[in-house]
Amino acid sequence: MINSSAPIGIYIHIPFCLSKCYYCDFYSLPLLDPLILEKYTYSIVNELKLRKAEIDSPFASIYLGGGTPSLLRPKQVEKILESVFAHYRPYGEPEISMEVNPATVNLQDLRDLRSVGVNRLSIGVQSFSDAELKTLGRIHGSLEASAILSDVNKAGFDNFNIDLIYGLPHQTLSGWQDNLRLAVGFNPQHISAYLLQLDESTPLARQIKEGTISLLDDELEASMYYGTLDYLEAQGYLHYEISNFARPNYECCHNQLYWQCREYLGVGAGAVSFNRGRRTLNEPPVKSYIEELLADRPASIKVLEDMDYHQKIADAIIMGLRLTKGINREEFHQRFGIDILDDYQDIIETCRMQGLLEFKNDYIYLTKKAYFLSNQVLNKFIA
Amino acid sequence: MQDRIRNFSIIAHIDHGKSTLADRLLQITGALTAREMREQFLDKMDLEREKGITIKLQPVRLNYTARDGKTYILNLIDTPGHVDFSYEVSRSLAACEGALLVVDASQGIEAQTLANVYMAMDLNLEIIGVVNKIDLPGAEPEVVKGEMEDVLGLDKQEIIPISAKLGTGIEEVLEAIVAKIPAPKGDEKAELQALIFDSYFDSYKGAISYIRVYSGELRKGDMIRMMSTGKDFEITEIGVLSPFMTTVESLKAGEVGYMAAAIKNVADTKVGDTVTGAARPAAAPLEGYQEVKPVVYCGLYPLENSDYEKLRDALEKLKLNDSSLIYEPESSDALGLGFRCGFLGLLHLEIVRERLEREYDLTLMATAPSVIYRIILTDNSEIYVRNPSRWPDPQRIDKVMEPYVKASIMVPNDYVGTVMELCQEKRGSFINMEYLTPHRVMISYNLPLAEILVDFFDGLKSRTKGYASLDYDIRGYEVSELVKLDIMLNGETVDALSSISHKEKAYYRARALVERLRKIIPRQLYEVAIQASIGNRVIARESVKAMRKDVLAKCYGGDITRKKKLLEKQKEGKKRMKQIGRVEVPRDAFMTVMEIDSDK
Repeated sequence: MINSSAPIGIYIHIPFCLSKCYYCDFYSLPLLDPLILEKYTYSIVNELKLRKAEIDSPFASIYLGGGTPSLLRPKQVEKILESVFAHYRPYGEPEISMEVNPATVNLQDLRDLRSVGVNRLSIGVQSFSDAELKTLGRIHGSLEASAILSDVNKAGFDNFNIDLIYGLPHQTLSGWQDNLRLAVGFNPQHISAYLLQLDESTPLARQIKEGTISLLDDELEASMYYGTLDYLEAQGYLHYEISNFARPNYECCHNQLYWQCREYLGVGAGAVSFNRGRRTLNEPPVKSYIEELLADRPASIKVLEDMDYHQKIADAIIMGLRLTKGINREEFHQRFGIDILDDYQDIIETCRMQGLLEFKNDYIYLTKKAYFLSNQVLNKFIA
Repeated sequence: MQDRIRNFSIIAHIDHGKSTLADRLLQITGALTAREMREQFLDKMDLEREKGITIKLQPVRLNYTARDGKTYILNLIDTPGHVDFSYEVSRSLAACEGALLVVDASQGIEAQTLANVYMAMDLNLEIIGVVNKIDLPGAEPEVVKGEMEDVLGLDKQEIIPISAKLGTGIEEVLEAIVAKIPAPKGDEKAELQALIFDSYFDSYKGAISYIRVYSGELRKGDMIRMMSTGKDFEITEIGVLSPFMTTVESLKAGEVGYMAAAIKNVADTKVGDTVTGAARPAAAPLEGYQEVKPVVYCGLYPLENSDYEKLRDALEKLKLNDSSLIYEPESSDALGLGFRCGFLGLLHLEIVRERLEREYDLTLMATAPSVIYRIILTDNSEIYVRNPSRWPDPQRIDKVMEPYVKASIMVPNDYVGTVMELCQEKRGSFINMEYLTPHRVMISYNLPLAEILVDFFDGLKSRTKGYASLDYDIRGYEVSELVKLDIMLNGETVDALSSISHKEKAYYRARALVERLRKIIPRQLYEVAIQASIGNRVIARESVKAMRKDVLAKCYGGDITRKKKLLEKQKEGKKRMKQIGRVEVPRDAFMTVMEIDSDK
């Protein structure tokens, strides 16, 4: 039972894709038969029902991620959201986000999604260059992306995010800046700009190992990153997390729960939950997940981490420092009963000397220089 | 009883199949059941199995019923094959009356085997020639037999062809041991004289010594006396290794076994010492072993300064098992407190370091290995320098001398040219060349020991497709033009990275060294300047650019666990680093000074 009064997040994983992108290491399957989406939807609905006893706190956010959640029909999304509201208590007006692949929706779909309750979209644009999209193995083209971005407002959304990736093979500083400018042109409330970082298992990582393509050097990647900060801030976006930017009051509620180390319920095959210091995984594959849930049995669970008090504190620091505002000393004290400045005095002092950490107005936070070197700070706090 | 005992060892080059033959002997005599059998049985240390070599001698007792119907006790005392460990060979040989000489049927005799056979002949051991691996496609047993006859004077007709792998000819070997090797002589009634040829520390039984009894009898409960110290101890256990420890009531003249006494101080069981009876001591000790002198030194430092005492303790324990190891405390500005240790060669160094880390759970840093330099100062006094950081001010040096060796290289005649080239590159001077057979040549060179230590053997192997073999003897000191090469990180000299180089090679070494350090020192928050200098003159420089990126771009609910693993890995990695000034240096950096020549 989650007893803390702090609101939680609900994450719903849709592990299907039309085809897998070359840089992706999340759990997903090619969608071979659309009928499976119907079974999967009911499995999710059942899991939400079965797990309601785990949760006492209200939820502040629902996030449909993937995979490609926009493969679901709006009707299916509606069923899922109904199940959430039937079994869990909302906290104010929850943020309801959904990831969208531009190749999978049209204006009507967006309107329908809006009308079933989705109030925030995250559009997986990644790049406005067709050559770059091809390198990434995306199934959409830049024109499709632009078309959907122009439809978002028409469909009634006043809050959406654009996902972009930089540091692609052959990408130049000006090529990246073009992508950024084009994105800002659609006036999104939120932009996530991610450095391309590859897990060994991905096809792109293999190509790099074979030497057919190569990543950019650290200097160029750093220039792209800090160029992004300067440009987006000049355009009125707040840099609020290492890779995330938002208009004032449009920070992503769901992701902030992660960074504040709040608890979350992860539903669907391959989803992760965090509850009382335990991270658990709903074990794939989808097939067994569906079999269990359609028979009203809970999904099979794997415990990823079971943290003690000190590990929980370390986690809260490691995640909390990702936010540019940093960690509030007083709040931290109330939550964990320790003074972070006392308990981590040596590390904090070392990092301050190195110009990586700052303490001001009761907040401890990364310096601008430290954002792109943040592991150098964070790895010191690992319990 | 004595006439049923045969004590023998096996002389063979690395890879010529000694351990496999030993395995076969164990199997055929029934010392091991099939279930107990595993490859390289006598090589107890993991390191020995991993490297496919024998380091420590390990005696084993076999019971063999010969064709004459009598049962004999065969004591096999295994020997190591690498040049670093030739002193162990001499110890094994001294405890035997005979030796099997095993030669690979496609490789022929190797330089080092030759050296060991000569040692055995000097000790008047009976040599039984064996040609192994006759089952292999490239085998030429007749040619190799001819070589053994020509070079060593063995009778070609009596050399036994075998395949240890397939078990062919093993019975013939056992019969030859019984028939040819003389039984030990020695009066069982006389005063006790037993030679300690190895010892090690057992955490339950205390010091355990392997012994060969030459005269008299040793019984459990006896009071014995160590002849070198005059200290008396009570024997708590005696036994034989067959191959597992089996207790016996007594060990008589001619026998080989082990003894445990209540010996607390490891220094009290000196290898080479003679054990005698406290009540009826022998008049004189047996001839012991020549003290082996280390030829290469390096500093060993615990990564964690707090492990210094633990390292001292570990060295003390290891010393019992490895009498050739020498150590003394030293300190380094960069590395803190540690020990300057002396070794018989680089393999020995590597093995000691690995044993300390594995068996005593230490994480160590080793500085560049150094030979012992002899320096005549301007005031005519003489000093020996084993640690480059103790090199005197050049102003005070009159002349510098370094140790030289006579290297004997045995090689098929096609490779003579390339071997000579290598020796010249290593500052060698030619002594002579001898045809052992029409196709096999023995080349002798006078070479600086320091040059042989680095990568001479690897170079030799690669230039001769593995056909060359090497043996060397230390000859003495010769005058040389040597300079001290210092390394600075961000302007600060790191004493542990100093090395001694020949003047003409100093520039090349300096360049290679700073380049290598640039590659292995990871990027840090600040730029790191690496400079090499002789005296105050900087002769090479490089820099490690400041780190620009170390970030996890994405970190969300589903993969926090995985991302944290990355951070944990980084934290672990930091533990392998040594902080020197503001610079984090990988602990292996200090060894790299010696590896630079391999990069050519």
